[in-house]
This record gives sequence, C-alpha cells and structure tokens, in this order.
Amino acid sequence: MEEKGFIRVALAGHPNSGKTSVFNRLTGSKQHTGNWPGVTVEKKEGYFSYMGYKVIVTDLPGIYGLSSAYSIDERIAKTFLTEENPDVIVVVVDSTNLDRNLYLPIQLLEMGFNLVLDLNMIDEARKFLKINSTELSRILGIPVVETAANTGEGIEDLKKKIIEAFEKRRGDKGLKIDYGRLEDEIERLWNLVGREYPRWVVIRALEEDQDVLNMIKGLENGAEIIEEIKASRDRITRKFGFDPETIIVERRFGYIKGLVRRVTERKGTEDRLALSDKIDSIVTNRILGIPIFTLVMFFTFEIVFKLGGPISELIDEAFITLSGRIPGEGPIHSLLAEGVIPGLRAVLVFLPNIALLFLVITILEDSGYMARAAFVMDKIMHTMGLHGKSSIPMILGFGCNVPAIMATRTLESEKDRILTIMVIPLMSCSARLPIYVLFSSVFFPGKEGVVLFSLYMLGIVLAVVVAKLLDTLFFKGEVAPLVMELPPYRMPNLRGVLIQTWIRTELFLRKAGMIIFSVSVLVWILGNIPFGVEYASEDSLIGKIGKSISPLLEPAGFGFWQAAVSLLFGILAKEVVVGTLGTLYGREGLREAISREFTPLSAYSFMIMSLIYIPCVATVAVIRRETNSWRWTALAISYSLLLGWILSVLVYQVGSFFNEPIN
Amino acid sequence: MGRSVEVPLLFLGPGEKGIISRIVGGFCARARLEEMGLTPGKEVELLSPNPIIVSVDGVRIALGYGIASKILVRTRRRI
Repeated sequence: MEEKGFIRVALAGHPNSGKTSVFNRLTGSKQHTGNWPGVTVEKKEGYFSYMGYKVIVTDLPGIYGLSSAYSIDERIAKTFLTEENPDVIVVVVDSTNLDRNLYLPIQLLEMGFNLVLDLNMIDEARKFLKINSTELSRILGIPVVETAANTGEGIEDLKKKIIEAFEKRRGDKGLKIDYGRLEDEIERLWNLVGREYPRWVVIRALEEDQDVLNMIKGLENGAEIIEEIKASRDRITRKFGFDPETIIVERRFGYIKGLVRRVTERKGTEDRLALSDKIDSIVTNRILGIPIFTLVMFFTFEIVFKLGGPISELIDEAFITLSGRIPGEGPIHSLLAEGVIPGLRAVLVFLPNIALLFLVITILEDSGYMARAAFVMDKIMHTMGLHGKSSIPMILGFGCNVPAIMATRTLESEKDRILTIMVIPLMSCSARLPIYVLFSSVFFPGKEGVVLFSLYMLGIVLAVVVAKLLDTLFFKGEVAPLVMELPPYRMPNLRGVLIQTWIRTELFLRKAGMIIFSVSVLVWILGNIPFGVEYASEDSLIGKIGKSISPLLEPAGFGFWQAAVSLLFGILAKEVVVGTLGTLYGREGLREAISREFTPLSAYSFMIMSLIYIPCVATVAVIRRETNSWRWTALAISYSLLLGWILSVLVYQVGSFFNEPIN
Repeated sequence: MGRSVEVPLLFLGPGEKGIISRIVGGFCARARLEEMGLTPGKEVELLSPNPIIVSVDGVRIALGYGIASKILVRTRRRI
C-alpha cells in the first residue's frame, strides 16, 4: 500500500498505568531506546504501520501531571509535548481508578492537545465497574478506547482511533473547566493578556508555570501583566485561604469526580485491594520487611546464577569446541581462534544470566513488589545519600555489574541513577570470584571464607564512602522526597513479561556486544605485534606495555610484567585475569608460579587491586551508555583505578612495615 | 463525639481517617503531591504508621516522614 505519511504519537500516562505494555503491544520489536536530550532518562521510540500510515510512537516518562517542576520526568514530557508538538497524544489510564488517572488527560485537554484516551486494564475494572466509554467520549469530545494491554484486547481498536484522531483533528479550543470563585480573576487577566491567547495560558500563569510566565514577560506590556498576576495571586490567597494552584487542582479533581459519576456504575466492591493490603501488612512490615526483601534477593540470585550457570557453561563449551575446529592456519585462523571467537564468547557467556535477570526483574516489577522493595529499603539507603530504589541494582551488582547498571533505569531521579551507577562497580561481581578463590586457596588455606568476606565487605564500605563523597561533591541539596504509589499486587502476564525481557536482552546484546567484540579484536592485534612473535608473550606489544606498567605496580608488591598484563587483560573481563596468568605461566603450572612470585601480603594486595581497579569493558560501555556522558564514564574509570592503586599500595606498605605476613 | 483537631498526617493512628486541610511549606514536592490526589478536602486513611502508607481515592501511597509531617489533616478526636 502507498504510504499516506507519518503520524507522530506521544504515549503519556501514570507510572503504573500499564503504559509500557501498551507501547510494547503497539510497536512490537520495532522500537529503539536512547536518552532524552541532556538527561539520562530513557527515551523509547517505536513505530507501526496501519491503514497506509507509518505511526511513530514516543513513550513519555510516567507522569501524574504537568505542574510539578521538580520532577525531571514531567519536565521532559512537557518539553516534548509543547516543543515537538506530536500529532496525537494517547493517554493511557488505569480504568480501575479513573478518579485519579483522569487528571493528566484533563490537564492536557485544557491545553488543547489532540488526545486519544486509552482506558487500560479494562478487564480488571469490569469486575466491579461499568464504564460508559461512549458517553465519556461524547462529553470530552475525543476518541476513547478500552484496552487490556496484557492480553492484547483493544490494541487494534487503539490503532484505528489514533488514525481517526489524526484525520479529524479536533479544534484546539481546549476543554473549559469552571474554576468557580477564581473565574472573575481569570476573566480579568485574560483580557489583559489578550483574548487571542487560549484561556489555559491564564490558568497556567496563575499556577505559576514558568514557561507561560516567561512567554507573558515577552509580550508588549509583559512586565505590567506579570505584576497584575502577582497581585491577583495574593488577592486569591488572602481571600480564600489557599493559593491559586491548590484551588485549581481541587477544582480539576472536582470536575473529574462529577465526570466519573456520570459515566460509571459500580457493581459490588473490589476485594482485590483488601488482599493487596493484607499482603502489604506482611511485606512492608517494620520487622519482616527487610528479611523478606533479603529472601527475595537471595532467590533472584539463585535463579540467575544457579539456573543460568549450566546454560552459560554449555555456551562456553560450544565455543571451545568451535575454536578447536576452525580449519586452516595463518593469520585468519589466528584472528578467529584468538580474537573473534573469544570475543563473542565473552559476550554470549553472559547471555543466560542477563536474560534470566531481566526476566526476574520484570516479574518483580509487574507483580508490584519492586515498589515495595524500594519503600522498605529507603531508610537504609538514605544514609548513603541514595534512594530506596537504588538497593536493587546494587545487590544485583554482586552477580554482574552490567545488568545491574541497566537495572538503574527503574530509578526516577538523575542523581540517584548516576550515584548508583558510579558505585555499582565496587560490588564484587561473580567474575572476580575466581581470582579470590585462586589466591586465597594458595596463600590462606583454611581461611578462604574470611578473606572472601573481607573483600566483599571492603567493596560495600567503599561504595558507601564513594556515594556519600560524590553526593556532596556533585549534587548538593537535591533531595528527592519519598512519595510513591504502591500499585495493587497483580499476577504478571506471561506474554507481557517475555516481550519485555526479550526487548531488554536484545538491547544488551546489540550495544554492549559491539564494544566487547571490538576491544577483543584490538587486544588480539596488540598481542600479535610485531609479526611472528608468540601470542601475548613478553616480546609482543602487549607484553611490552605490561613491562612499562609494572614499575607502577612495584609499590603494591606485584611489580612483574605478568601481573600487569593479566590486570590489563582483566579490563576486558575480570574472568580473564586468572586465565591470562595461566597462559603466561603455562609451562610451570599456575599455583606453583604464583606461590613463588607472590607473598601472602602481595597476594592480598593483588586481590584488592582486582576488586577495585577499572571496571571491565562491558561495564564501562554500559556506564557510558546509561549515563550518556563521557565525563561520568571517565570519572568511573579514573576513581576506581586511583582508589585501587592507593589501597593496594597502602595495604602492602603498611603490611611490609610490620614485616610480618598477615596470615 | 470528639472535636475536630488539625494534626500532621504523621500523627494519625493506624486505621484513623482525616480530611486534608492544607499542605504547609513551599517545598518542591507539593505540586507532585497534589497531582497524585493529596489535595485539601480529600479524605485519607492511615493504613500503616511505620513505614507510612496512606489510602486516598482507593490508592495506596507510601510517604517519607519529612513529607508526612507537612500534610495537615483534620480529624475527630476525643480529648
């Protein structure tokens, strides 16, 4: 069919309205994510083709309204709506609670936007509510659709209504709400501003919308009008005891209440809330809350690493077999066997863990538990200058830093996201474990557990200190107060969960994969220069680089080139550290070699270094992508390198001063 | 019957209801609270005092102590 053109659609709605499911249903896998300009909040776009149109959908951040200037999400949404001016805005609402959810669409209608109202979760609402959507559509003058995004019901209809809204564009007169006792002031100010402007401009001005006030300031007699608005605000506050914002919000909710009464009919009571409250009285309980959270996290780990482990091993073995079977010889064979295949292997070995992790996170989110977890952990996390929601990504970091950093997407404020991302590399991931196991079993036999525990604890303590430090250095005075809706518990829908998991996993594969892969090839090249040299030996370029770095490691007690090279390769993936040492000391056996080269003290200092220094390439790549900033990425690399070096030197020097091995 | 008193939401007992009378202080989260339906005139019920969960319009909202001390409610109390 011939393309009739593009339709640009924005998807808006509350954080818990099922907006993401609607987005996934509309666009399927035809979506991509990036960041909103200047901030790290995720921007999702996708498209679908329908009735000859290509419909481009932008998923706005979950918002409650457009008035709260402090919320970064609302700022983004507002800027997008007013500056990009999409053809149609679909507002997704939770039909089980129209009283609250209609606030956003009403506010948008007042401003004259071209809306489609999506009554989502209609299947749940039908259990106790009859909604006359035809009547609602007639009163508001916009298309209204009933959907249940988790089953896919009504999605076709939604597509149809989007086209309909686009083709017969409503006039942008805007919905008129009667503001009662404010009407006199509104009329007076409207005459001052000029009747050629829409009425909502005056209302937004009374609500102290800074963008509108700036616009008015630029008018011919702008300064005068601003003075009049101020005087008007003062008069209202004096006369009615409330400032205009409060009265306006109240009147809007009043209008909605009347509207909902007209178009709905309750049948029976909801028992779903009673059950939800009962679950909450246990899950968010003052005493039980944290133990339950710990248990949930424990099972998450079990699933992700116990279940993912065997699959990872299968993939790993497949790669080993594959690299053994590459035919031929010469540089191409070597590039495949030592560069490309190990590079792909490093990416794909993570895949089962990551997919499972996203699966569990999606289930936790969709069931409603995630909001509770954040709430329960809020107090503890506050002492670190972090939000309760940061606890989940940080704990996931013990498994693998990469998905942990991606899990920070659930955090709303930019400050919380960046602080959390910056300290996640200090959570000792599973890839660092082989290093600890090898060195502690050689040098601290019988005390491996204590050594391991001390390293994990060191990471946590450093995370607290670093978070606190970065907080005071870069984010003075920005406090996000805790106000959070706790959505009712729901049974997650299998299809919805799988779609969301797949979308998140695919994204990881595409973006992080590219970077890991290219660095692997680069390392292979360095290991083979100059030509004819033994791969990754003392005389290769990488060996020479190792030699030039090793003097720097001297004060930490491991100033030999093999240690330097293994740490250098370890930046690729921390698992590689042990493997590299294995290759370098290949002839005499690893355990013997390290027991000759290291002392217990230098072994411990080496482990500290491995824990802290530069996050692996995959982590760096994902930090860059998620913070959308080279500066934060550079800071993450440099602070960890510096901190790792200082601490390992400190441990070695202080230990040597007392001149006794620490076992 | 008791008489009506104005107290911070923080001081409601479990299961106690009150009508929001005002939100004090010009702090930045106020617009957010109002958009979420915590406006003067709305009835709130304290479901859990520690940590604080309130019910408004049939929705559960978790609040930090700082914010809960700035929402004033009218409630009937025996004194």
